[in-house]
Amino acid sequence: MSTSSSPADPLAPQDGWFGSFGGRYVPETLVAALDALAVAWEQASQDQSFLDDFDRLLVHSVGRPTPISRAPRLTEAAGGGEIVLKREDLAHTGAHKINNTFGQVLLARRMGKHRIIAETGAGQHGVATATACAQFGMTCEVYMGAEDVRRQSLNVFRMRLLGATVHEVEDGSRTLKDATNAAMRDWMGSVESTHYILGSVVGPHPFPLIVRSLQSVIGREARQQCIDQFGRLPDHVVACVGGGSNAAGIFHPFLNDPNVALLGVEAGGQGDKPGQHAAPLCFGQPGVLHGSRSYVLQDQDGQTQDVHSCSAGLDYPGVGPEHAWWKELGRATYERVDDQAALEAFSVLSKLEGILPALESSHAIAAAMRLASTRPKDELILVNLSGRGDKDVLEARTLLEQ
Amino acid sequence: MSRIDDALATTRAEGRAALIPYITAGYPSIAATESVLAALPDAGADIIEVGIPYSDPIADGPVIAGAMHQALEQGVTVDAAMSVIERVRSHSDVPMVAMVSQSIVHRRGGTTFLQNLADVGTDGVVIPDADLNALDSMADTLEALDLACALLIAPTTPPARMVELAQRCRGFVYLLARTGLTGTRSELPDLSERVESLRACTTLPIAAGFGISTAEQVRQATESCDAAIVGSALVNFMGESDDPVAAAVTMVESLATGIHRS
Ligand SMILES: Cc1ncc(COP(=O)(O)O)c(C=O)c1O
Repeated sequence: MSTSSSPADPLAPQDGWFGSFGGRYVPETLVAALDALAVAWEQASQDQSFLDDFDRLLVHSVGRPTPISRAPRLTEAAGGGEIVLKREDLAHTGAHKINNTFGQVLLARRMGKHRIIAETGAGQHGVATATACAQFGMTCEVYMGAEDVRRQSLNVFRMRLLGATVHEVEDGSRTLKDATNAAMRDWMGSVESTHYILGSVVGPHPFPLIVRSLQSVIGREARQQCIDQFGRLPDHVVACVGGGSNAAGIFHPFLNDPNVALLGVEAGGQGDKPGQHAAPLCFGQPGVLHGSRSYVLQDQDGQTQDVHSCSAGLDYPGVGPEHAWWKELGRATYERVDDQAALEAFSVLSKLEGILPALESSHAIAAAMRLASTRPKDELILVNLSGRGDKDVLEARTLLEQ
Repeated sequence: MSRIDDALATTRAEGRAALIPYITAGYPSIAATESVLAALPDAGADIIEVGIPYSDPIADGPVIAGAMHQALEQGVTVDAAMSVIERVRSHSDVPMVAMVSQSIVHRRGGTTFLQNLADVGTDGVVIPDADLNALDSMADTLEALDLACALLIAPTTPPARMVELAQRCRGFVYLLARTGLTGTRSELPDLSERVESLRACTTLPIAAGFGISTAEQVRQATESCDAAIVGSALVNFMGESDDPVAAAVTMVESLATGIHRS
């Protein structure tokens, strides 16, 4: 788990900057905490005992490695390249988010902080944070937009069962963006005693680096599994992009494999007009949100625009700075899948493979099927199935009945 | 910036500290903002900080964030905020400092935005969430435009960084009275030690803000600092009143009674 690769590596970040993206656009109160966090991370990620602790948790608490699964019936339905699924849905609590939360809880413990706060959209990051906190006996408070509380009521109940306090956020659009504001505001006042576990590769340095490093276990495993099971690397890696953590986690270990194409899938929502989608890499431009410079959906004054996606975990106007950099460098490409196509993929994967995907991951499935249909049969398309869809069945029923 | 220098030199010569009320542009209306900016100097404001509404202000507590959201919902744009400043400047010499988030500065072209601020007669800028690299890239422009630029010094700021930040300030230094957000709270921590170490690295006037809400707290803060900034309490009082302009005047008159005089 190297945090900073050799300076010779053109894809390695420098001092919290991914090219011209990233940085630390935060009130001064947080700067000392971010400095301390960066130092703690730098030390921890080079400390074998920390890495061993993390690996043990990944094996015994998360259930890693997660397998890769062939999807022959899905592949046949798409008609073309072979689709293979990286099964993050089989990780404890049902999504990739837990890789990050166990890592950061270990880090918090190392820093002597026993109160944890987090923001959550779909609730998966909140559940994963609450889970890790329960295991380590830490206090856990989760901020969640009121609209998401409604859409993901089961996850709210799960968090409470796990001993967390859930704060409903009524500001602004009452979704992930506002939950993130609320968590940052909490941290402004509690920074000395509290660690903020950001749930994606967004926010001020060093969060994008920490979260990506912790999530890279997905790509490291998948890369080796492809070699072991197919004798080769995949031709394409596909992942959905909300803040971008599951995508960054599976992409990163393939960065220096030039023949592996990386495809990030944003939420196309209900159309291409502002407010109808949540696709900053497709439609936004560089701006500053939540502490870093990256692609943002904003108006000509720099005010964050409303976003829409059927999937709460993708319903976010910003994206991790490293993705902005990969886009700019042409190392990864980004496209969008709309609500309807995602819902179709949700049903199709359930029927054809017996796997109920998260609505977030359904975007990646839809894009992979679209891609597969244009590729020859001997191409291998690895999809990050970032989470399972149990949390979404109520919402999906409503949407599918419409 | 000369207006800010002049104002702070004047108060210093008079042997008293300065009062810097903060208001959010467009809250509760653009018309109210214009009247308040015109009325506050006589009520005791030496400098006025004008917040430009932003959709996602991280440093602001519920009162100011709420005021910003309401202003945005009413359609208050950055241009509308600038126009108010411009109209007030056409007939008033009150020093005005814009409080603006980096997102807006960035989107409006960085140095171009600073130029716009200077053109309408703003005397300085506070960017509470500026990245130091971003600030450094604007330093020449700030100087050329003679705009004040106050950086925030937090209770969590270590000594070496305090020096770095103080060196980058123009006009005055913004001392955060506490960790946490803008907002009304009861106890004000003792600032004297922090002020003393800050004085060791700058000769600029020091303004304390964040959570200063009463005349008594203005008094406490200005015992050691050169100015007190009052935001949330004022915005809250204006929001609760049927006559926000009169409310602002009443409150600033009251706050001014706390100003420390030597
Ligand atoms: C299953 C699942 N996939 C993807 C996401 C999107 O986040 P990210 O882009 O950080 O992976 C979420 C967020 O809640 C999620 O729950």
